[in-house]
Amino acid sequence: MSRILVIDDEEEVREALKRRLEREGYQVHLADSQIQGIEAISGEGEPFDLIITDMLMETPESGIEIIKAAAERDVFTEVIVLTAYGNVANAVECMRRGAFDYIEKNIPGVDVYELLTIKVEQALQLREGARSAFSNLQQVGYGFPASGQAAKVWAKAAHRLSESEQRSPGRPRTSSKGD
Amino acid sequence: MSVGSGPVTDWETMADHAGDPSKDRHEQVASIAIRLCQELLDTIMRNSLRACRANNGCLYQVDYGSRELLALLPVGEGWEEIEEHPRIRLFEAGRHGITSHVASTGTPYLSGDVSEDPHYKAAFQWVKSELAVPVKDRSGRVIGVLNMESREANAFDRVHLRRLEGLAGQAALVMALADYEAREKSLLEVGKSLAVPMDTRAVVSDVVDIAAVLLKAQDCSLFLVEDTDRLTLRASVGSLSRFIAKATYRVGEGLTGWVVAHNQAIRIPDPRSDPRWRGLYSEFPPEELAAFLAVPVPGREGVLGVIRVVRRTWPGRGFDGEFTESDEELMATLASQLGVALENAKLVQRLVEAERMAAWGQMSARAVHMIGNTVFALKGELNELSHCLRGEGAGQGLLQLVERANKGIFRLEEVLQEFKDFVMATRLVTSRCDLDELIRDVLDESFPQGTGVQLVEELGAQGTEVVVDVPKFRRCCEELLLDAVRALQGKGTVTVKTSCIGKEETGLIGGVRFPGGAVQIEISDDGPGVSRENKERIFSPFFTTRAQGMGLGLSIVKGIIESHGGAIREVGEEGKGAHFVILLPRWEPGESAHE
Repeated sequence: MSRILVIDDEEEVREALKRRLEREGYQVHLADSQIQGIEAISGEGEPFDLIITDMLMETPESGIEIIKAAAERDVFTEVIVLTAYGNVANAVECMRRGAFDYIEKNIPGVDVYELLTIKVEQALQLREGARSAFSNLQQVGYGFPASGQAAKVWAKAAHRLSESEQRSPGRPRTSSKGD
Repeated sequence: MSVGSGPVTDWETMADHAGDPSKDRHEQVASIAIRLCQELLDTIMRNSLRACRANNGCLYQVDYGSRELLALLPVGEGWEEIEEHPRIRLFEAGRHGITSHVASTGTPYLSGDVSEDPHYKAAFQWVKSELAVPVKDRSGRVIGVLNMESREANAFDRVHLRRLEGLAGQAALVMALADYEAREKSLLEVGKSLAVPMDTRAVVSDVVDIAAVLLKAQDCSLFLVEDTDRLTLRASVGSLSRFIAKATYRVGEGLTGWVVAHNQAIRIPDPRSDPRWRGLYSEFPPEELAAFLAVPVPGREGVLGVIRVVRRTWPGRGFDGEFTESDEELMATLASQLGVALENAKLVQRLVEAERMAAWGQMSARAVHMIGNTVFALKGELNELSHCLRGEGAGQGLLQLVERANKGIFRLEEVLQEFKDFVMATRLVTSRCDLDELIRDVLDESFPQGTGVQLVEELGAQGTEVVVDVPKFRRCCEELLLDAVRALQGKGTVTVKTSCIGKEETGLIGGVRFPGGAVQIEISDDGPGVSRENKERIFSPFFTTRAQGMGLGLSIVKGIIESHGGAIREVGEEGKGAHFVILLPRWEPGESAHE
């Protein structure tokens, strides 16, 4: 069962997300601040499969800090930023740092919970894909150090690239996977 | 002190003591002036008495404003008998005394036997002879009268007259000195008050008051440039004050308009004979306008307005009402100080507005965050509720309730979006586009169909391009179009026009400058229009005349337009429909199109 960490400083938001995600069959853990969130991320136990985090908590950049901490702990952990007040600059920054997506909590006419459910599914698929790409590479033995951070990042990036190429079929394929 | 050396010539010019309508101010200034030179005048008066061997005498001052002679400095016997110093009428038919006659004619007068004299009016019973000479300033204008009286008949002769004339000259000099000191003091006061940023209305009102006093003019008016081609009366001492905000000139029209158009002063003795004269707004009947002086009020990038002072002419000779070069210099100084003060006031106002918007923005961001989270959780709960209800096979009734709750949430989200837009109004992501094409697109997509309201398009920008944040600009047009359609309630026409305004035609439009020219977008309707007192308020946050809506719409529109370096105003006539005018800077080759 996939493990999701939800980080938000509003209790009602945490509860709402937990309820919906558990209904979809995920195991949900909660954190109420950037500090608690980072503790949970770097704590004992397996790294989380997915982290859903608010942007503005202790500071307006708390979301970015979460993304950084998650990447440090495990490259393959996906992060979705879910914010009440979005802006383009923040969104761009989050995506640059490797977030899976950046969603606003309130968009008129959009069922955010439905959207979130779909995104969660996609994120978890991507995670699986990247992880297995990495273990494939290890098995095939390209000479990567087994636990190298760089290797993991590389594998993830490669997997993502191929994923995105598949999603936009109009673009010319310049190279096959593994180049 | 020497006595009787003939008329003095060639001293520094001074303004004459023409009265001004605000008597208090004049008396205040005059009393300061006279006090300062009291000693000197005392000496002159005592010398006069001795020189003429007179029993008493007096130095009078002309008050043009009230058309009277004021007794300034009496000397000699008998003044204790009178309770109040006589105020002598000028310029009126009938017998008002020898001094009045001398003031009117500007020539000295000698009477050996006042009982036979056609002009004499008795103040003291024992007077037999009287000698009076005019006190004139350098330009020959009568500013006072110096008279001597004696108990004896035929007490005065030509020698006394010449001596008195000489002393009158000295008195004129002292009065000029006093006047200069008073002027200097006034200018310092004005300078101080203009240096403090304050309400424009107070500033312009103060300036015309002071100018009228300083220049001894009967009237002073201030016109400000408020559109590229019109000046509006904003302050006036005197008869024009009832036209404040109503009297306007086109730039170039009349003497006043000419001053603004050419950024040059006009100083003439007979305005009516000048070919530029239009006589549109005249302080006095045209035949009474004696002297005219108008100076431009300079701003950093052009003329802000014009101050004009006028003097009235009086029946009778000897009163030269012309303004002098020194007067013109004084006015120019005052005008430049005023220019600075006006621009400061504008800057301060803009700062205050910006701060206010920033404060609203901060509050909105906070509100959005808090409300946003609550709405989000609420949506989750409703979601859960409908999931549970469907799972338990709940009836339509319950599911409908949930639906309605969802609709409520949707409306809340729309409100939230307005708040977000308000905060984001100033953050632009721009691109270059053809204005007419853009407007056409917006109209095609957003003009509500089937409402019964007609749309008239007059797109005349002819390919001119602008740099705009397209989604935000679109939103502005939509807001205005929807407002118009709503106001028309199914019947009427909305007209959308575009045009270009060349570099030469723009100056200051709506408080914003467009050195490279501008495009103009007009959205007007034939509905009820906007009332005069609301014309500026409609752009304030949270102002709304409708029951629904938060009233942020137009303030968001204004924020967006102004962030583009543009301006928006409502210029329609109440009852004839609203007329919004948006101005945006044109894109010029060489400018970058992206932020």
